[in-house]
Amino acid sequence: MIIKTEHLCKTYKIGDQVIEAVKGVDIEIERGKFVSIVGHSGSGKTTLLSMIGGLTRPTHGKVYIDGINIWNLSDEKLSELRNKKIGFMFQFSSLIPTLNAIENVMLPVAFGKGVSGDVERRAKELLELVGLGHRMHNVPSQLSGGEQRRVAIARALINDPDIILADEPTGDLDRETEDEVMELFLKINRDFGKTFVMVTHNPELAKRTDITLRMENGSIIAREEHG
Amino acid sequence: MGKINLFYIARRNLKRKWFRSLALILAVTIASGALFASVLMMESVGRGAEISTSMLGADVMVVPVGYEAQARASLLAGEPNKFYMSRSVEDEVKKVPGVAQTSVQVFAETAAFPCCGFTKSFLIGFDPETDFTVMKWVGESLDRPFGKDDAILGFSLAALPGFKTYVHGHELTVWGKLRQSGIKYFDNSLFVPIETLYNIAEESKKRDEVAPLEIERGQISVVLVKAEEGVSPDVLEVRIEGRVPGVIAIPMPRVLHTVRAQMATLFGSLTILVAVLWVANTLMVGAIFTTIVSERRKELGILRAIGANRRHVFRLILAEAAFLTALGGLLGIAAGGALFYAYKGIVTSSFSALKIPYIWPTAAQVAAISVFTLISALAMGIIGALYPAYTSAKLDPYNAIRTGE
Repeated sequence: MIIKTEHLCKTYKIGDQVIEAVKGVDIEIERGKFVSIVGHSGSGKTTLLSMIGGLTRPTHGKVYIDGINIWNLSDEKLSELRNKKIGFMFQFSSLIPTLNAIENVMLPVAFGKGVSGDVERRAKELLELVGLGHRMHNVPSQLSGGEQRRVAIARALINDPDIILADEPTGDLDRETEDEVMELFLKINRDFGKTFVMVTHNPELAKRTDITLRMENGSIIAREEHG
Repeated sequence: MGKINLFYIARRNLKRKWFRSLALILAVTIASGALFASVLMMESVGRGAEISTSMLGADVMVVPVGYEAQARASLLAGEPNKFYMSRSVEDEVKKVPGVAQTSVQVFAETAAFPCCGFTKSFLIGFDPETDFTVMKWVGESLDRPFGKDDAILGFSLAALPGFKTYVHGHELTVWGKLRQSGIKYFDNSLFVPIETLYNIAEESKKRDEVAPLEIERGQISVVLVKAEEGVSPDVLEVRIEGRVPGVIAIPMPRVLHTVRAQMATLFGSLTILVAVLWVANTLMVGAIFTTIVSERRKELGILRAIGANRRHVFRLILAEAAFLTALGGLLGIAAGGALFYAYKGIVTSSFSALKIPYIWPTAAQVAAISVFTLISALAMGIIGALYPAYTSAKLDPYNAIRTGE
């Protein structure tokens, strides 16, 4: 299993109120699978994704990535793991506005240790892969929402991670662009064997993934496998 | 393009709010310029005083009671002053325990010194037999021993060895020239043997065509004293004043101390102003970078998500602040230096009028002060941005991304 969680819980305290965002979630995800997490707003899917990705510390429970209990790692080691093993995609434009497309793609390399090879060449290849070879010197404000999302995909792949975590990556895109981005995800999953975990509201998109996990009130209530 | 790094990201970040960055750079430029110029001035004055006292080679200077200030002005600012006491004082000083060596000098002002372009000069009679102050600084000289009708000229006096000149009607041969020191006492003075000075004075009073030199044979202005090893100038001061009536003994370290006290008074408000500017700029950096961190919460969260650890984020914020303030520091050094050199003449004459020794800083001094100013500017940025950098490093990545949306 490339991802495994054990009784994962997250509670927030707002004033006197205790909110249980995630309640004892146990999941196992095989390498190379495309998993979608669906559910209503506030069901805990984004919180679950951020705990799997090492962005939010769980209140209880464990997250294993490739057998490593990530929440036992120091900040430095956990950051290194995020840098090397996980690529992130967010709902909003997550590019750095002062850097152009190719610089945004190369950005994770700035935080990595002992990166070898021609980073610029790899960044160009990835931009070509996402169909933006001609826009590599444009800054985010000169790119459309779909193009920005594709730059973010290229950035997520620059360190050749095993896992891509995507939090409603097509949330604010029109239908056509959403479809293009999803096609790109499926291609990367199929051709490069990357494991995808994607949070989405869109049941149509979820149906195109290998497995759908349905969440409600912080718990996984259903697991559906698609042909 | 190559690999991008933290410093590159920091530089690009600063471009996004260019007016804010520019305003901060200018504020640091002003503070750094003021710091650079004031430290340069203080160091120059301090160096002038140190060189004056060290060149003299004496531990204690003995002068008549009531003439302490004039003696100090003569030594530090090369101001011709006239104050006299009996040469017998030297014999009494010699007897004081702890005195290793003495030498006397007579101060006079010459109104006529036609050879060398100076109409007014400091005329000093010294004893070549006991001297430990003048002869050791002679640069070029005639190839024969120093004679009774010879003179030694300060570097600024325009005459070469071998020239003849007349002082109050008395012919003197320029025997040697002192090396350049930047100290007026040495550079602008004319040194003659003390007996020759007495002769000049006596002759001048007999001749109607020259101005009389009002010095009596046997009068001296100062006794320069070297202390025995292990005897402090302060101890010698007490002993001399206790044993020799009518004189005041001035320890040379105190002369330096007095100059430093004068400097503190003179530069006190400037120092306070520079300190206030430094603190204000540091606080401004803090306020600006707190805003920057708040504005960029989402971005910082994203950087954490893609692999930046806490140290990376901390260093990124510090690098941005340090980059801005270092730039301000460099501009401040350039502006401060340019202003200082543009007003070189005014600075020198102002100090001269205040009877404060002033010696133009050396290239090494300017370099050292530039480095100090740059470090100070960097410190402004780093200290100012320390707290915002700390809070940004402590941000929970997920919260930062969500709350920054």
